Amino acid sequence: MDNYITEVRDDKLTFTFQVELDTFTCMELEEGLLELVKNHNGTVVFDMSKVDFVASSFIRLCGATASAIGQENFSLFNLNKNIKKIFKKVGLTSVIKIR
Amino acid sequence: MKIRTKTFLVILTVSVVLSCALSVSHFIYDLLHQENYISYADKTINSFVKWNNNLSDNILTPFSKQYINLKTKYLANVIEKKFITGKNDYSKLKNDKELLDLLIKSTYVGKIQAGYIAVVNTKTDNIILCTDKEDIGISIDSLIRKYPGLKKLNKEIRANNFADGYYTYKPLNSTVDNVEFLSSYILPNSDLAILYSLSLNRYKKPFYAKIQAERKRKQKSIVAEIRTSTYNELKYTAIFSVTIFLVIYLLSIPLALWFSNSITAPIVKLRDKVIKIGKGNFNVNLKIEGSTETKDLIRTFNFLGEELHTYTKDLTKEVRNRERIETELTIARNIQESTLPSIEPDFTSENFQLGAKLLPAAKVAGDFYDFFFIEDKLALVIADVSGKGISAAFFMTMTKSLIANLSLVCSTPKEILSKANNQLSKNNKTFMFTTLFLAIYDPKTGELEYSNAGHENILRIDSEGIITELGNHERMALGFYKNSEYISEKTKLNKGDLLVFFTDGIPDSRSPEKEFYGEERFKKLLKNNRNKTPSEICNIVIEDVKDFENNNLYDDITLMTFKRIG
Repeated sequence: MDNYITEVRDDKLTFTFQVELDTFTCMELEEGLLELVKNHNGTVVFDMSKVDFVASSFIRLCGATASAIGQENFSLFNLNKNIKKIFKKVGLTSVIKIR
Repeated sequence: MKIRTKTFLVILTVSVVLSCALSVSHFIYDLLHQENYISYADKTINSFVKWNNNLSDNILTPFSKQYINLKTKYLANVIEKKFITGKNDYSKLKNDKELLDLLIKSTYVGKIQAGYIAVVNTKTDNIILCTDKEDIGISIDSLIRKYPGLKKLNKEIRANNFADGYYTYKPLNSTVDNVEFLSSYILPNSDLAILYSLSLNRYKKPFYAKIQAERKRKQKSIVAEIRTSTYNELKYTAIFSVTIFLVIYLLSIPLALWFSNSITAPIVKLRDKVIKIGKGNFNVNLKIEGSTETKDLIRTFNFLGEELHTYTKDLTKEVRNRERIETELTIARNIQESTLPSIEPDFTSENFQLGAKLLPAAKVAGDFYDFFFIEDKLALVIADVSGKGISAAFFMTMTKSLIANLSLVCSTPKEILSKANNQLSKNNKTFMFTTLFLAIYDPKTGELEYSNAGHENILRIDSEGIITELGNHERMALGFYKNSEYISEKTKLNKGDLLVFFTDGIPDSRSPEKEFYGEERFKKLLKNNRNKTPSEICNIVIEDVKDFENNNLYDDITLMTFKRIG
């Protein structure tokens, strides 16, 4: 199974993650994902509807994505309660848009 | 059985079967045709005999006519002499036994009586002498009554007045072939006529008997000769077949050996090379020979050998690299472990007790704990770096040193975290970060001042077992963004209060069935064991988590416990 599915609509690039985002998965997908992000002109969205667990490496990946595309162009949505709590705990809800 | 032996036997068997089949079929062919030869010979002989019979008929018929004419004239001459000598006395002739014997003898051809002679008085129509004694003295009419078939002949003879002549007739009820000849002769100066009848069949019988006997003898002889000839031929065929079989058999042995060798030799070489490869010698390059399939096999094998050689070289290199990295990681781990503070003997006190445990998921950990004195106060640090392995360990070491150094120059936890964050976020292109909880305890007052940079809240468990969380600040983890602000809080610990610092490796631990360990189970375990020493509590929790994960660590697990006792 692919780690994520991408969809481009208008200027919005959406990554819909299909698996648990543990440390090893994040290491595996990081390079390709950041490459796509850097080559995209527009907004980037991480759809977390199918994800139950994220490791701290994913938070780092979010930080790297926000840095690459600009904080204002990056957002996450469909986060479950626990994942949202993690983002809140590490203080990222103030800099990354979470819907 | 070896493939070479199998091939040899197969080729040999095929050769033997083929040669046997060839020999046997040749033999059977000759055997079957032997009867045909005999039958053909028999037909030829019969045909020849038939031709011979016809030829005999053609020869014998005029000859027999000539014979009875001459015989009749001869006998007429004898009778004439006897008649003259007897002074023309018919009775003397009638009683002349010598003459009768001569007449009878004259009717024999060999041992077969083939003729009938009658001396007739043409005037009286009486038969004076006759080879059939019963007919002597009877009239011609009586004879015709006896032999009705002579009626027509009688007419013809009488029409000629018994003149010299020659007649052909068939007795009544005779077969077509049963033709008889009759010669008539009038004796001069008398009324006597001599009639000589000859049965052609009877006349021919002795000749034919001889011919038949000869034919049978010849036929038998020829058949025997054919049989002998075919037997000899069969014998020669058998000898020839056996010779052919032996020659093919003898030739097929070296041929089969050569052929089986040509098939199996490359395969045997291939096998030997495989054995060499099995022993680790990959430098093989077989000569491409043999059948098309064998050549393909050798090409594939050579290719595989080269691939294996390259792969093994790469693998050896990779293994060496891994061994080197493993060694370096082991050294790194030892260094990392040595940087973690030991409780004994420096951190034993009548006022508090400490316990700490760190289980890295990888060779080196991204988590760390630390405790050190800032003058007479005790600093307690727990942190969790994002990711795992070398990069996390490197970031952790950097953070640990930074916190320890800043503690010497800063007065509050929030100031330490703020300055540490500014340092760590500088040029942090990989966005490494660490969550960190820093608490500073004053043993004199029991006061605890703490600040949290995105880390798990610490747990405070009092002697009654009531659990409260400290540090719910929701502040940025260290390393993300420069100039992030942190807050410090203060609380006073009572005697028996237990503080638990931990990383998310504990609540996020998962069973093989993918269930989370969870905070509830963690808190319950702590509550139940709160009266134990901090070290004991650490051991209990770590063992419980390991059991839960079935010893399959998913993340670094770090636990640090503090208890005020005085």
